[in-house]
Amino acid sequence: MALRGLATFDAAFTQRARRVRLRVLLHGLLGGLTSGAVVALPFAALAWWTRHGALRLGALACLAVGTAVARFALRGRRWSDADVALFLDEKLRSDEAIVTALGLRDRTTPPAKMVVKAAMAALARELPKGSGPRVVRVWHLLAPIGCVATLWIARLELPPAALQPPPPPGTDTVALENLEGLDEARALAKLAPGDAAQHERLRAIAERAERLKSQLAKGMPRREAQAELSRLRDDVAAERQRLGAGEERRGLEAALAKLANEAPLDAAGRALGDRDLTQFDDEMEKLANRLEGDDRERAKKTLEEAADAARREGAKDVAKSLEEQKKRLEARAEGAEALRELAKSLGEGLSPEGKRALEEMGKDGSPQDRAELGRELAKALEGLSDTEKKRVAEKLKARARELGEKGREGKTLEHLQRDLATPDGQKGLADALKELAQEPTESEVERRDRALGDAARELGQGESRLQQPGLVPVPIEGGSGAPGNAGGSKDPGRAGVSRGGERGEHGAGTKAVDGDGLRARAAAKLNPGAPNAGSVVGRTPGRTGETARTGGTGRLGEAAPGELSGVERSGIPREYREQVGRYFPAR
Amino acid sequence: MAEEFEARLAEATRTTSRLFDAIAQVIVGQTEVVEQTLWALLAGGHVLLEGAPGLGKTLLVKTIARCLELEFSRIQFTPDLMPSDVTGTNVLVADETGRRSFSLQKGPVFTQVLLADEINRATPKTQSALLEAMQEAACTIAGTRYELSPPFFVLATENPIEMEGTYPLPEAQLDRFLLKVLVPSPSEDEMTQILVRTTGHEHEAPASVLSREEVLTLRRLCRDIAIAEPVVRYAARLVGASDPSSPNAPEVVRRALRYGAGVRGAQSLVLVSKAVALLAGRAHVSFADIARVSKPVLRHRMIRSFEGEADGISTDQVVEALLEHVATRPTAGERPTA
Repeated sequence: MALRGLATFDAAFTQRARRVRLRVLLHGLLGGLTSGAVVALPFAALAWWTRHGALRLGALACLAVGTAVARFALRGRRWSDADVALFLDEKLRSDEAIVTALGLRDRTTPPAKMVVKAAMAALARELPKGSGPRVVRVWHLLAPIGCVATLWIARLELPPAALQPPPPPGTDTVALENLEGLDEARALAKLAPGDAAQHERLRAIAERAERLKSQLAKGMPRREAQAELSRLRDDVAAERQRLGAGEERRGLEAALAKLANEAPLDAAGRALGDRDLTQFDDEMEKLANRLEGDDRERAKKTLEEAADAARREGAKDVAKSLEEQKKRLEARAEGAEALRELAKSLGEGLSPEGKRALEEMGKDGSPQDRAELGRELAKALEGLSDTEKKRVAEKLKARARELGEKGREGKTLEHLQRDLATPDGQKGLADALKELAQEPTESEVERRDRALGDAARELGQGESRLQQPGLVPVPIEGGSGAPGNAGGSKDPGRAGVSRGGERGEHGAGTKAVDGDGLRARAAAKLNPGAPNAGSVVGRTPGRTGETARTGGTGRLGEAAPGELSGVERSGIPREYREQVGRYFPAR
Repeated sequence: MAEEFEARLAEATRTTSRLFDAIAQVIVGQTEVVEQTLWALLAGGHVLLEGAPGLGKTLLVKTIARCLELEFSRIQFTPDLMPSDVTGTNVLVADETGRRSFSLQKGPVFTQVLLADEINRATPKTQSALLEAMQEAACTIAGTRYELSPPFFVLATENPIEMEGTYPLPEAQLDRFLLKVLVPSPSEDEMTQILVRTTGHEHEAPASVLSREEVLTLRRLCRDIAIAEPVVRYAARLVGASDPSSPNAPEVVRRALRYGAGVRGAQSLVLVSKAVALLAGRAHVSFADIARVSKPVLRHRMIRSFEGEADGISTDQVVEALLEHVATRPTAGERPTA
């Protein structure tokens, strides 16, 4: 009916063709939209499943993509005029009048005009209802369904994330600019070595420490860092323990046996047995400060015998160390004796602090007390008048004469007396006293031993720092160290609970378990998602700088160096030691 | 001018309608046969009528000839019929003075409507004499070519039952016939009416309805009928698909045919479709017209294979398969169906 006003066949056909093509286009676009919705739904579901929440709404972009693809595809499938005409002829039942009219080359001939007339009449008719190109089909319902389902998925809460297995302990990367012990280990190369082999070993340790420090600065796996640090610490500890090891062990054992016979050298012997030369030196210094007269001489003799025994057994380093200690004992004892005599000569001129230091030095031989005494003596000498100084000098002279026959102490006192006689001597004496108050200088062996000990200790601290915080055991309620529940439960079937260090009440009994149903379920929520606290420890540090693997280098049936005089160094009461020691004879 | 053409079409429709009515006074039933014969008349082709004896083939042709107000001849083909019996010959005749000369004795082919009864009983030599006239609308006698008077319209009959002593027409010659019309047996009602009509007094012969000029005018009008290019393509695809070697040929064609219809078959499809459109009062041909004429146009132009003959697949069945297989619109598959 709308075509009634159109004058020409072309206009009528064009208008009808436009409507037909529009419906075909809409059908295609709707198909693309539906395809996009069908694709969008599983896409959104996949995004939800993989917890990509933002991509869920992005799935709706599939609708636009599907429509665009359909539009692109339809571009090459546009109905030609002949197609439209044939379609209209079929639907309008016009016996191909329209397509014939459309193809006429000359529309002025009578037959052509009649054909055009018939075509116009056909075009004037409305298409029967529902016979036009169908725009909407049943399967197009998938488009709204897909959109709604996609939006529903977009609003869904994301599924819980799958628990990721914790990484193996120590596989994380650690980066540290400075780690305790590495600088001390690097400095070992600058120590004076005992021999060329030791020089090579110390240099190798220093290089490895340098390399580890560099790697740690860049970042490296924690486990590798811990392993390398442990190896370094072991090597440093082994180097420190090298005295008396191997072929020199028998010599060390012989020397320790000698030292064990002299009671004042008991502590020093234990330190040597532990190969702790620093401790050995400290003990010997205390001994030098403490011992007087014959005791000191016996100690020197014992040291000399021990050195001889070690030398006989081939332990040259041990013998050398013992001889050095003997010399140092002499020098220290001489100085301590001089201080002691000077203090006695001063009498009441010595301050109470000086007297206390003198008394303490005599008891335990503490180097601090000796230094304190030296300082107080210097002060006291400065405060004396010339007359008093002469009197002190006279006393020292008399004492020197008294000791002159006995050895070096007498000569020392003579020197003191001479010094007090002149102003320059007095000044020199004051300086000498101050020098006596200073800490004694260390030998190369001691310095090396101390440096190795420091390095091993610092490396141990560095190793502790590298440990993961997650490995710290979590306190458990009621466990040792934590307060337990007050009293045990009286409820039958439950065991008593410890009070934490105290004995719990265990009066209650446990009845037979009723297995008909589930009564309780463990629901531990301790550190959810994290591995249970715990660790596997491959070494058991007994002391800083040592490891449990220190022993075990000797043959079966022989005692390790550290085990020698173990009875004496143990906490066994002295009166039982001899009896216990029978079971562990030294060879 | 459109109105004038429309009026001419309407007049043609009325005229053919009168012709139908006139024939129907004599022929009972056989509407399709009559209609298809008229298609050939309007399209300017010849018709091969095939049917059992006694179905009114000869009566039909006689009636059409009378209704058309055209010259009519009949040849009863027999094995001893000579070509000259068909075309005619020069005979020696003496005039009143006794002078002898050759004079052309025209044969029965010199007519406008020729009934070639039982054409398959003549020898191929005689058949070819007629077929030349059918093709050329002329015949040559003793070296002289003689044009036949238009409209030259041959209606040949063929008896498919009595094959003894017959000479089946070669396929190339069958192709000369525009249509091959199958004359069916009458239904019970038709038979009853035939019995009533033929067992009483004879009726008067039907009146002439179409003059020679009107027939020629209708033929020209038939050529004016328009046909769209997609419709022509459909006819071409239909004929092309009848070739067993064609990739578009359906399976039954490949199995049952040895040769398909040729170009002459496609031309005949379009031409006869125009006649159909003319009879329908339309100035254009439709797909339905092509489909409607395809059987009488194509059935005698396709040569069955041994397998087709052995399986009893008729050419009509092949044409039905072709109509089912070949789409009217080649791009139909690319469009959504309405």
